[in-house]
Amino acid sequence: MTSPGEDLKRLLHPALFAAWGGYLACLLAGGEYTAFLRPEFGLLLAVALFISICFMIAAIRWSKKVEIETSSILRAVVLLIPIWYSMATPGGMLGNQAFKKRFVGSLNGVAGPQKEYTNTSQKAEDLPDRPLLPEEIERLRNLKPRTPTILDLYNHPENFLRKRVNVTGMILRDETLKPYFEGRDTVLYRFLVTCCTADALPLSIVLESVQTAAMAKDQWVAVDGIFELRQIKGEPVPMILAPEISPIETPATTYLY
Amino acid sequence: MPNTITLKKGHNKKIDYLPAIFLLAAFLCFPKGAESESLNSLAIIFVSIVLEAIPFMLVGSLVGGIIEAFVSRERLVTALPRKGWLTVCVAAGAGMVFPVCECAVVPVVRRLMGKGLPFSAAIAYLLGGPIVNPIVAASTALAYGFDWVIVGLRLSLGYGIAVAIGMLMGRLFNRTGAVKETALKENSVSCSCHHHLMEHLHNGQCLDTAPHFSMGSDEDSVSSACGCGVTGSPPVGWLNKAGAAVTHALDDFLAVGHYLVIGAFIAALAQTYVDRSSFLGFSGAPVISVALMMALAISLNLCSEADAFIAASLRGLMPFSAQMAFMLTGPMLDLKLLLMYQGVFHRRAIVGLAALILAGVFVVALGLALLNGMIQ
Repeated sequence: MTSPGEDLKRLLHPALFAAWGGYLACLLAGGEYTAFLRPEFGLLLAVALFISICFMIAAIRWSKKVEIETSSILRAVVLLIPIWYSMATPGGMLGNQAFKKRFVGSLNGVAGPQKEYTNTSQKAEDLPDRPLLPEEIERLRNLKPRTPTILDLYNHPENFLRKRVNVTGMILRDETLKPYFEGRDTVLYRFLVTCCTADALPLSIVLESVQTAAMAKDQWVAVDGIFELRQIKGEPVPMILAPEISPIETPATTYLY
Repeated sequence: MPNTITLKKGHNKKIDYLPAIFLLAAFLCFPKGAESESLNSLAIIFVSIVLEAIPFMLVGSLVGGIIEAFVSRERLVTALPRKGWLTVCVAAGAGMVFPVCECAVVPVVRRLMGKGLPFSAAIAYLLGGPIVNPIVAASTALAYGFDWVIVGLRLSLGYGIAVAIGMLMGRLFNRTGAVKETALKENSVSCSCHHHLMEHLHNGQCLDTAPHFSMGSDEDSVSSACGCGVTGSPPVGWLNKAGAAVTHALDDFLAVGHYLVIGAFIAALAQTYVDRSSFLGFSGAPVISVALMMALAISLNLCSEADAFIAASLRGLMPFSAQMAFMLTGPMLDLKLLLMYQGVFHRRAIVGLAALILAGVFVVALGLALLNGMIQ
């Protein structure tokens, strides 16, 4: 009969890889890995699952009963910490705290087509040189709204300029936004993920004239209004005029890719 | 009686503190429900970095194991160019044929050095592999709107820096002074090479119950080709070799994997608590903006496929030279890599390598800034 110490020596590494294999299998089965990675990375996690199982079998099959020191146990525990942390964040997502740390201006992330509308470019002349009048806004509000994502508005602003849109995202009202947006302090935002949430960039749309006192932080909302590109400090800032805000359920996919 | 191998006491003593400190920090920073947004952010980013990196680490370990079991030292040495500088040049560009990311490259390089790859060439591949590869070229092209000049600049500058640093490191350090032989010897012990067992334990007495990698049908295999340079009996048959490969890979992963986790945690801390806008607030002279972007690259810990998008997002806020510095620094040196290097190199070599990387990228980026200024 083997002692507990002998069992630990023999089973430590197999148990480690079994834990990782089980964790990866759960993430893949439930699709919960998209809370951390872009969906296409599921294939990579499947590869990782396969290799973990191979390592577990190898660790069992060719267990050498190596004399395990404290350092080996500590290393194994270190490798289990991400699993423990992951269980503490079920359904968690980046919110306003991450937004404020990563936000560097409205051209954050996709510094693409809307950059063509800067003051020095040819296309800037295409931008109307006066703000919309209230009656114009009212007339545009009677049109059927389009439903782009924030990324669509960033990538193809010309398709939605001065048109009624219905966009979803999280709402944030913060004093620190005022210097970027000439005193406006409310934005609708989502994160754009390239590989994982470590590289997530906040994409924001300024909301003009908003009463959001009742909204909770990081509340998911649908905003219905008129999309505009407004020049602020020489940069085109995406904005929604006369927004009507209504809370919605958190969507299944919280990030943009 | 099963073979018992005792690792030399004390050779892991320095590593004990790091996992212990990390475990304490992880316990203190554990998210407590919805009470702390920053701890929740930290947890999400930490798990994300680990989940993204771990498949590559596992694949890299497996590739290292396959090299160990299937590639003989003689075959590798024969395949390498005879001239040392040519080997470095080839190694720095090998990523175009054998693409690898910065997480996977460390275990692969570890095994290649064990098989006789010169130290300078190993450094060149370590630095060049994660940049000079088609995947990074594609992601850079996508991030910068298919501006192939930028893609070409990133790849060629990355290649040049990798070659230069590889050669310099080869001059400044020899293999025994730079590479942890204990890290390489652990592998040979685990593969049950009789000669190393004798060296470590019994001063010449051969253990006749050494574990072998028999798959049940082939009783001829006794020990694996561990690359120790001593001719023993390599496993016969591909099944036995495959078993040896997986076991070596397992050892590689266990040797370096905890550094990945600790590095990811530190990077997550930086991402959670450092304001990116504060970096931009100091961007004035090219020298300052280049240095800031290099510091950002080291602390953000992004993969070399994603960092181009972050750099591109700062167009208009940071000069191009600073963006390039960001894209060159990250794949070669970040918090996670610094820790993973500890599994392979001595501290002096790591300090030397880090200093050369920082100096090399800094000089190149400033050169770009000067050139840009002259053109404009």
